[in-house]
Amino acid sequence: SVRPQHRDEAAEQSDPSAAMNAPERHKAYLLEDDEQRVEYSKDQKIPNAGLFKLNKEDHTIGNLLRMQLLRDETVKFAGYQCPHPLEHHTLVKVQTTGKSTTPIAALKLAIEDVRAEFEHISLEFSVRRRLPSGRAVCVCVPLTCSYVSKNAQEKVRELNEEA
Amino acid sequence: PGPRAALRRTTAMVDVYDVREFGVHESFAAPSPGQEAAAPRETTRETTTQAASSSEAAAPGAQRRYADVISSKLRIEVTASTDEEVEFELVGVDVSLANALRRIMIAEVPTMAIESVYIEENTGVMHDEVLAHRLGLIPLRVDPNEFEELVDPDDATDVNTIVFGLEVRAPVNELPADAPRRKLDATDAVPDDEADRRPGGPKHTTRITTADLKWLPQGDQEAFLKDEPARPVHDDISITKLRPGQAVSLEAHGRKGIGKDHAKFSPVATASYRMLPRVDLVQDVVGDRAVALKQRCPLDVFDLEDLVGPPASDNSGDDSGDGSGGVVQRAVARRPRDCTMCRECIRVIDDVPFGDDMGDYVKLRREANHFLFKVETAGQLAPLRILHDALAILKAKCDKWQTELELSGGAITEPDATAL
Repeated sequence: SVRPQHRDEAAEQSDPSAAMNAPERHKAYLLEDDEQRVEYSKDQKIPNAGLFKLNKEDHTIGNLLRMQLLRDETVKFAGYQCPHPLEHHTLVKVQTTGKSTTPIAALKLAIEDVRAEFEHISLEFSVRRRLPSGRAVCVCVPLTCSYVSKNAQEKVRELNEEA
Repeated sequence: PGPRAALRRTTAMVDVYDVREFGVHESFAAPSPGQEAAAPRETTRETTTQAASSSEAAAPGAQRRYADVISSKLRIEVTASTDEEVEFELVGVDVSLANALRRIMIAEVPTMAIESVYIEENTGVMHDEVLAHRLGLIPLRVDPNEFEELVDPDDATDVNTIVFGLEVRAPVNELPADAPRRKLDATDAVPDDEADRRPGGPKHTTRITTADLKWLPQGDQEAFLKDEPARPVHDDISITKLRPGQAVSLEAHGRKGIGKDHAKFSPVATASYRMLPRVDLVQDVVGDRAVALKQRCPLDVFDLEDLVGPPASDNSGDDSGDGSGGVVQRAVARRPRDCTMCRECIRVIDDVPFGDDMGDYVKLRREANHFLFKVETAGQLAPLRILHDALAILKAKCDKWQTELELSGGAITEPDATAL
């Protein structure tokens, strides 16, 4: 259900069981008012180590970033947890060798590399054009799609004219 | 509203965008990638460590190792594509990435579905809440990109809500007064559409189907949805049934949502992958054993190919049952893709030739980074559209993370002095 704003009290009065049992579904993916998406805490005892708390995220991101971090030679340790299924956050612990990266830099690089990989995959499924101006443009038109959005169709037409 | 407000906005799934070229993609093999790749590199580096700038400058060559490696090992091929389902292969990625894609397709690609039902009249047998639940599960063919998410239920507008009306009155049946009451018997069980709907017809049951749902355009919706009117995917889904005199009159409001919120929003019947099977013959399988192996496999994975064998009189250790011709046949796994891992080829069968040790010859394994995806749509979006949206969502998540990490820049420091 959608996030009830000022409806909270009314909802709780009419359906008390909902308040006691499972949390509302939107709490799994919508940030709370006082929550940041990422919280970083530097490890007090271990050098070049830190813990990222990713709020409202799950294994989808956690495992992906962890695997990518492990591919980085400067990363000494990388691991992730989703400590409890009813508490919607993921922890990623990173330790680097400290010679050239910090945990934050390592994570940023990991995110960048993962982004590049997704970009590459989606390029494979799209119409790509290098415009005469040098600008590289990509129109994600799913091939053989019955639901191609009008925007995409128009853009492809524009691109073909421009190119 | 500061940067946080921006982060809360609905994911914008852009159809056209400038490509951020991290590596050299073969279709863009032109001189500029070097500069374009370097530019985003600089800006990201600057915001991180200032002190270690010398090592950063040396890094670009080492850093771009990964993006270049992607191009060389990643391969995608669509093997089958229909309106209902797409099968494609993703080779050269890690399982975490394939799984992330699968999870997003199931749970985070938005669609539209009915959420709130305002019932004016329901004299049918089906309870209000059951009827409302069923309406929610009906897949709606509406492009979710045209809509915004409904954040506050009180603020339903034409940009975030779609309205359907359902109004059916079952015609009153006219039976002659002296018609005998009879018990229902088996012949009443099978509904006949024509007879059902005919007023006063013999069966007298009115079935409400998806065809009875009428889209009620609100505000500007008629304009921005003019080429693709909102309608259910199927027009023959039974919603409920009414007897003579009963009626249902309601207004159903739909909104945009994701699978994580409620399964009704999931665009896929399911999205799954399997890893490419690898059938390894660790020892040569020849002669009669080869024939037996080929016969065992229900998927016909194996083929027999001829070898120019040693002379029949020579004892080669294996049973080459063919005494006269001298041509020995060897089994090969010709179609590992068809293998379902049923293990019938290695199953221990007593009292049958070659029955008990096939497992020493055949090893069933899987290729680690070769994924065979199957994405079956529930009807709201085309299968490739679902894939496209999933990739866009994942990219947007990465961008959001990067922005957040920059915002939390207060915690960024130099590497600790004690390097390990």
